[in-house]
Amino acid sequence: MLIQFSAPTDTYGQNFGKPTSLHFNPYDDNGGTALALSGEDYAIIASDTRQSSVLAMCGFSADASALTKRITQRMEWYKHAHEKEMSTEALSQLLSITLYSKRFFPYYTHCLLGGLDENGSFHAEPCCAVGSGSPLMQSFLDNQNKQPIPLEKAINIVKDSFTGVAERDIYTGDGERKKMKKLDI
Amino acid sequence: MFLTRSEYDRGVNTFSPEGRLFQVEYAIEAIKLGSTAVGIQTSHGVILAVEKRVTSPLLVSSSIEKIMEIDTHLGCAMSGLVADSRTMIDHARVEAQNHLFTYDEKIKVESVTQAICDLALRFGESAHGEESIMSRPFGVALLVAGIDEKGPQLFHADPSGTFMKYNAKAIGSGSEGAQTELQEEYHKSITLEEAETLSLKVLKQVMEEKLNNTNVQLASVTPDRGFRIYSEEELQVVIDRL
Repeated sequence: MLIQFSAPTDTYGQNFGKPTSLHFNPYDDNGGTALALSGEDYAIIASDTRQSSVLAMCGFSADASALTKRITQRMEWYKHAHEKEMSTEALSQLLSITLYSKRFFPYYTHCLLGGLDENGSFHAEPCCAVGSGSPLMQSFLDNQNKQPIPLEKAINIVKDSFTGVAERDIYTGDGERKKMKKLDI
Repeated sequence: MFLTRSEYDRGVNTFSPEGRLFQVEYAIEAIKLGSTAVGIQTSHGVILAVEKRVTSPLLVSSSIEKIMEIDTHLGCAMSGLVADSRTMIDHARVEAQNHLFTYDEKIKVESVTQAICDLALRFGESAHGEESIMSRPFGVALLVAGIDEKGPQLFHADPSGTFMKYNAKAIGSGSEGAQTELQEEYHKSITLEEAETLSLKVLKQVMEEKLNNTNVQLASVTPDRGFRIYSEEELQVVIDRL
């Protein structure tokens, strides 16, 4: 959290040293990039090591951990109340309304949700990238649009995306973490 | 049981020395005064049937509502103090819509029954923070019918907040005779059409008046049409099969 004092200068470039505006900024952007890909029998979700898992999030990391905690708790409550695991569709709706409930003080996170359930691979998007490196990564992904991509190739695409983007985007880097869900046929 | 009446039957939250809650037991008695309601679960859907007591020829029979919709895939038949059920049905409807809004999926039949039973126990003085809306137990029993991923299901919820799953269940004044009849006639492979006929046949046996298309109400929950109440014409078709 940052409280910035901006001290304007006078016409001669001298600073009076008095704060004339007080700006409260509750957010910070901790960067990071996440990517999700799905084919006929798999869904891959990947992120650089600056974020959390199957629900990949980028942006303000404090908000991301708060949101993860909240969603995980709701999933646990759901399991006890309805004696079943939440489907990916249900989870996406829950995530959506949770984010909207903070419409006027938003969680500063970019979310990517990937998973499989009894309905097969769930995807609102066949492939998607979020975070600081997303402009670079999404355009690369869109260029690889031979759907459906076989799994082996998809893994390589994910690797290439991150090595490529880590080169160009200073906010993405360190390492890469992948979560993959595959249907057993 | 009325011979054992003592001081302990006044407070709704006071156990008697034998460990009984009289007010709850009396509430269960109130259901035995109500009109008969029958529910039958089949593998193709669930049937609900209720008797309507048309006490006067001047009474508009269509104004008696004893089967209500909770959601498109959930219906409910009741017996006892029907006015009490409005609070419970309202609660169930809100719960079902809330679930749809939050999770973008239809609520399970068991979950909605659980929600009704949670409300059934919220009588008397309220505990910390929890709002109490009734000063006494609800005097109504419900048959909750619906379809979810587990298939067609029928649940019975009573004023003690207990609920159980049934293949076929009768509640109300004629419930004893009706339940025996259901036990004899019910089999696992019963079709929806057979269940329609069976429900009315059972009602016919326990009703004082002669059964016709204005003094009974019939409803079904099926995978393709969801919950629906039969019109008088549709009802007549079933009656003609008896």
